[in-house]
Amino acid sequence: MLRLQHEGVDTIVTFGKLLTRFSDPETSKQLGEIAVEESVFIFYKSKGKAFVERCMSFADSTGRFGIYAISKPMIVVADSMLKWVAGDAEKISSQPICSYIFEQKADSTNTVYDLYADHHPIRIIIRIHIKEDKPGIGFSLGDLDYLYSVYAPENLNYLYNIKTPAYKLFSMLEKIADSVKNDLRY
Amino acid sequence: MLIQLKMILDINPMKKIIILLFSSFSFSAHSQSMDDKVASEVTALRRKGVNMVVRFDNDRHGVPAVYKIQGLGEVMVDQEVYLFYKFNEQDMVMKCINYYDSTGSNSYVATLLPLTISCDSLLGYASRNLKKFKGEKIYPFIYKWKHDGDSSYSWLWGSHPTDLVIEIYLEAEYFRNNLRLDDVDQYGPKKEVENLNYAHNSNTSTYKIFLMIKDLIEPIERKFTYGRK
Repeated sequence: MLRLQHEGVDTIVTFGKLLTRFSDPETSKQLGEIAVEESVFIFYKSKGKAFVERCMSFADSTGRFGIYAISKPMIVVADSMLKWVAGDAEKISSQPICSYIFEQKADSTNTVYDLYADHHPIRIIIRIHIKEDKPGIGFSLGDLDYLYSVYAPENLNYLYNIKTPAYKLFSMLEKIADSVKNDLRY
Repeated sequence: MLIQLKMILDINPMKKIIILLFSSFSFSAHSQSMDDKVASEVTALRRKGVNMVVRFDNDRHGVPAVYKIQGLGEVMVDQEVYLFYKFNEQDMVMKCINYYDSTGSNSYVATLLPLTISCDSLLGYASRNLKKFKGEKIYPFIYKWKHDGDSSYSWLWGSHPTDLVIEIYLEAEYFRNNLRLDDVDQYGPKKEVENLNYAHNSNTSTYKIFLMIKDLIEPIERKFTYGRK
């Protein structure tokens, strides 16, 4: 990050995914079958081209875990995303994604509201670095579900969350990250 | 501890044994946790024939109180536990504290001398409402926020939350509930939001027990003294 800022890059978007007590299987063209524990994609524009880099910790197919890798920069189709973020960063960060909240009957008279406890949350952290500013967005992937499981009560924030600019950005970042992750070279 | 060991290695063998013994005793006294202390007090009360104890924990989470306690002087207390019980037909309250000395770097756990108190209503209410208390939940402060045409639900989390614990020990069993004071407020700090769980939370036996305890301890808070039981 500091290297990019030192090189004069003024819009950087980081997309982090932190998994708790489990990992996400992936097939990397270079590394083979891996299980990703933590991952951060870094999107930026330099000399008119959009790039992506990735830092991650993972377990390899032998079961060895806690291996760190940093990818080489790769050209990516992310111009429109970076341009939109640069113009709407404040709007994106001012409407955060809300937690999974549900209602239920506590007794015959009272309705209560509670937070859904996800025991294996996937934490998403997005940071927008524009010059000195670093607006950040943090939420759990489960906050975007309508129903966490078939037995779970509905998420009262579902309709609100999917209309937020933060959700729009998350969807864009996830789509781009998914399209490049297997091709990155470390 | 490392400095103590270094000093011990530099002196003669006979003194080493004496200092090691003394050192381990003093270290274990200082390192006793509040939970260990309270557990030992409850066990002692049970051995004396006390069959019901209501325990109230006030963990101050970085906002300590300064008390002038006879026998200890002025101390900074960051955790206090009250035990309410009946012994020999007399209502009593005992207080255990975690306090810091004047340097602020050493913390100790101490039991203050029990005081007589009239807490029959508290013990009676806790006993009658034990079934309600068991498994009762205080829900977080959740509010609805209206946006342009949309609304969302959010969770209010104070920067200095006061986490309180109420436990009821009855015979060999015990039941525990947690209570955050923010969760029993009807409105947010600037009255801009309303707690959707207020109606339920304010009607729980846990909260009612807390209110009774609050009324009981306020008048006697400065009367506790430190000394041998």
